[in-house]
Amino acid sequence: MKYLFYVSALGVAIAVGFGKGILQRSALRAILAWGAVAVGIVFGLFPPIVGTFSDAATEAKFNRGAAFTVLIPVGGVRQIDSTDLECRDIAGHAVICRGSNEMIKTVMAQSNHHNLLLHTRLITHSLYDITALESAPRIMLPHIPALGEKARIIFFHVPAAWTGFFAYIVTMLYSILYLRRKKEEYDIIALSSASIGTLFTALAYASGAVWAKFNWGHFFNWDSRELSVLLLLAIYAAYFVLRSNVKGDMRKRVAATYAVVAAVAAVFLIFIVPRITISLHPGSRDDVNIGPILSPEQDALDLTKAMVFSIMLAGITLFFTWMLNVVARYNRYRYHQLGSET
Amino acid sequence: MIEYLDAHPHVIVMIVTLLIWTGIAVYLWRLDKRLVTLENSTTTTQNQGSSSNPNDISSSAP
Repeated sequence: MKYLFYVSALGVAIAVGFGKGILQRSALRAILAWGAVAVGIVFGLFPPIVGTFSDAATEAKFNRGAAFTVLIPVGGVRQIDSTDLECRDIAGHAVICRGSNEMIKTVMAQSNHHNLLLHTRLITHSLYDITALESAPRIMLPHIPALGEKARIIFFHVPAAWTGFFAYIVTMLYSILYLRRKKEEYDIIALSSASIGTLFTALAYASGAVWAKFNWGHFFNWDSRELSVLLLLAIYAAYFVLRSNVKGDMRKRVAATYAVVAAVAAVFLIFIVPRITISLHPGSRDDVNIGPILSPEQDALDLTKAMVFSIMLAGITLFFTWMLNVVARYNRYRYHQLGSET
Repeated sequence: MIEYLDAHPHVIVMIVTLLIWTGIAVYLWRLDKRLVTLENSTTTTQNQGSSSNPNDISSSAP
């Protein structure tokens, strides 16, 4: 089901982005790009991340003493005495929740009418301290083990990485078109796409480095995917160096040929190298799961997460097509009017 | 309000992220409009016969 969301979102984004022709202006493309990204940001960052008591216990192993939000369904609490409750989470797992007399009264008063979010802190494996209480909103994001609040960066890091790769594939396709038909416009689009692709790959790299600092301890961990993407950036940096150092008619043909070969390297470096080597990223050779985005496991199939991710994927892909439109038109103008070689 | 934001730091992150992306979108939109003006002025110049060859830089006025 979630794969259907991803594929549909990408299909719509590519159809709207390229449908009218990438060199044609489109207000729909611009409005949808900003709209989808704005919706993705709001739904990716605003809803609380909630889990179960099992998640809270697992999380406490990594982050002792940290508060954890647990979803309690209507009627999921039963008063034991003036300071203790039996709390039952959404998965049916029951533990003892301990709070002040006032807090217990408030929880009891609300639990018969609303789903509740209890911010708890683990004391022992079956005893939790209630630190705060709020009514559960309609939209919540699932807890991803060992990620917690940091999981929200998935909605930016993965679409940015995907868009970088997609831009390199667009570069390859327009380079092939240029080699076959020798139309200037194809070369201009290929060049513009490569430059925006490098920007998005760098953004994915930077967001990944910040995420790695907080999850793995260092900005750079000599991980195989970190290295392969660094190599990919170097390969595309060489594309620009090549363009600026070959003069005359050869420039475009050499650059287009290089872009085709570089795209083959991109597929190898992004999809194959990290999967056949040992890596900290999900989906590596020694890993049993392929990550919260692609994993077919039951707990990774959360509908809200899949929808928000799909919207963000479509939004950032559309943003790329909008940027490509503006940059390619500017490069075309420069080429035709100012005579600058692209 | 301050208490709410203090208890929910991810809302501050959301507002800042939204502002940054809105800023990028506004910048791109304005750039797009300026480019249209530039493209239109070029078309007008070409129609007036200043240059029949768009690649001829010696006669084109940027």
